Amino acid sequence: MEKCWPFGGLLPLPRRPAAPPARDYAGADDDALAVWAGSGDRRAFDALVLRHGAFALRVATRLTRDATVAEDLAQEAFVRAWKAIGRFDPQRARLTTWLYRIVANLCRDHQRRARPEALPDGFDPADPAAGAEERLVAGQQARAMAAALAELPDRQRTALALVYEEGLSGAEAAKALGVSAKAVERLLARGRQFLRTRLADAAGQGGPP
Amino acid sequence: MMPLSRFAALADSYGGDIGRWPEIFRDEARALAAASAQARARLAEAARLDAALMAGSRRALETLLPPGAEDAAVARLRRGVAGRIAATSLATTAPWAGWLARLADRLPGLPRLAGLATAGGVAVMAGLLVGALTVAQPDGDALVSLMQPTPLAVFIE
Repeated sequence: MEKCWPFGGLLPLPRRPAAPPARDYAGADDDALAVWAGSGDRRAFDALVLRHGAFALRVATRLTRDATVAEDLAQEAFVRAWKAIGRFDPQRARLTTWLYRIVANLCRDHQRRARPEALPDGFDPADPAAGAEERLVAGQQARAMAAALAELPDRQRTALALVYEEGLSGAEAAKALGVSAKAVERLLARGRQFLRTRLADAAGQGGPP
Repeated sequence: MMPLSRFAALADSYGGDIGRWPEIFRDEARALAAASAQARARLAEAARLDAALMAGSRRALETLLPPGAEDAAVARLRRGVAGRIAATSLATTAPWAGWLARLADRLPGLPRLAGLATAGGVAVMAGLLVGALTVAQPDGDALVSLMQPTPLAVFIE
């Protein structure tokens, strides 16, 4: 091109700026992806959705007990995260905790508006690996536990889901719920006490011990 | 050493696995568990509830979101999020698109419909383009015949 440019002396050939180095989206950590996404990089944000989408879906499904609603809420959570990710500060919180908080808040708002639902049809499928008696006991216990979980107040169920089922620490769950670590400890204790009582009631009525 | 009452309270909250407890209590809790049969009994009791809790929760989740369906759900989630982000970005440059994006924000079910509507719109536009490119340009006679209604031509003959 420079050989063909006839105005080299008077008008230098405009130079294309050097291309930025290719980004390793799969290998980058959450903080790097968040910074890139904050500058408008949609592929970086998509990598975050890919990485944490299953978690968001699981949490939303557990909290709403409706997979379709959970998908809509998870989608809304990520869109809100995209709009706010420019303000995300990795020094103050982990990205996952920040994201969990958005998901949990959306689910809580949804639960406030929605009426409680019964357990879905087809709950308690048989486990073919277990014996008949074990299947019966395990199935009864799982059914009793799932029913008790469904009756838990939203905040207690959210705290149990984050700590026990998703493996967050108490401190992370506290940030996700926007409460103190001591408050999370109380939520967990109350939730577990409720579940323990319900299981004992089920056992007393001929259910599992 | 940690009092047994505090140990029991932590077990009631965080369960039978001391590894899940807040880090600042773990060393003292392990020491107490090693020394006290009562502490070990509280841990065992909490662990039984943990197991029931995990089994019940897993069973309920798998009923609602089977493991095989999770990947497809994540794929739908990625498409939905990407579509809405693209619409939001477009809204900054096109006022009509901004109106659509605000409408999508207000109607929870719209994002799914928006994907279908977009696909339908693209298909219609593609059809118009293909039609415009493939229909032969009429010559002079053809233009006259188009202007002349067929029944009138029959009367002339």
